[in-house]
Amino acid sequence: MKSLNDIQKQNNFEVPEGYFEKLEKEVLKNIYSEKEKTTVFQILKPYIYMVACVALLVGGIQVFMENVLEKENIYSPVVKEEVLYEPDEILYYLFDNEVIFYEYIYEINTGDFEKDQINCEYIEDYLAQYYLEYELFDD
Amino acid sequence: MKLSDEKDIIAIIHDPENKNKAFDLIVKKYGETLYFHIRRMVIDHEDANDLLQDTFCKAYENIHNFRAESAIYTWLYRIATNTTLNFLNQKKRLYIFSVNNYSEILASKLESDPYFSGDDIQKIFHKAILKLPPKQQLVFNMKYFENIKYEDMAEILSTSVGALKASYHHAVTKIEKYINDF
Repeated sequence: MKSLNDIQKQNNFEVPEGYFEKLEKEVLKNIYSEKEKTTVFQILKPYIYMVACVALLVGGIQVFMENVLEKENIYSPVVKEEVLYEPDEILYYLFDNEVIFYEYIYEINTGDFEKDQINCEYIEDYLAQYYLEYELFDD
Repeated sequence: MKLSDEKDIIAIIHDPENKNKAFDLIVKKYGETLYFHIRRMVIDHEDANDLLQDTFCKAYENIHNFRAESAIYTWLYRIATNTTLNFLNQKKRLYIFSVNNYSEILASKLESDPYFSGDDIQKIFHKAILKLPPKQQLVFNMKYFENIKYEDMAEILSTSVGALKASYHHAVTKIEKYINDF
């Protein structure tokens, strides 16, 4: 049975010749070209903000007027339905990156999605492993 | 004055006249380390170079926000790590509907990379690392290849030392299983 100790620790990634020698120059060249771009943006910034404020004001007035004029909405409140989520749906909405959700599904089911296999124990295990901020232990 | 020590760099970093000199030294001192930190995650040299350039641009733009409460290198590592994770997330979204997901694309880049000098065992080892979720890959690489202390890693990744140790242990187990199953 192989372990990590059986593998030689080495850096296998190489770089084109002279890459690090030229790195400083390239970085500073990029920084100064970025600075030129932002200068143009900074000149236009106050005008962009003015246009955005006017657009927001007009939009806000429009929404307010619509709500005041449509009086029947006040007298017909919308009843919110209670929605019950299954563990896999909870997991889906928990992550704002759905790719991570599909990675998880693939990992536990080797590609086949089976709803029955996703339960709280899997969710907790997954969160403990992959979401380091989520600590499940009560101290 | 020879400015090689981190304290010396921090001392002049906020001085507008010496800012560029300080930044020059930062690139010299940390460029290579940050490059390999990124490269291990993205495999491709061109991608790693682009992300390294982005990292230094962001560092330069935000250097006025740097406070000496943390070391320069943990601050830079944090920027490099977040830049790399954002890049990988964007790539994964592009490949979500393809037959091969982006992790498999990275593994195939390893096979064809002219700048990868490892033998077959090393390739299998790096493919095993690529199988880990990105954050866990980071923890493994930072501990195994870069010898970063857990306390510094905790600052870079905003995670507790205990969680990092658990994550590293899990990563080692998974890698060893992958290597033995191959």
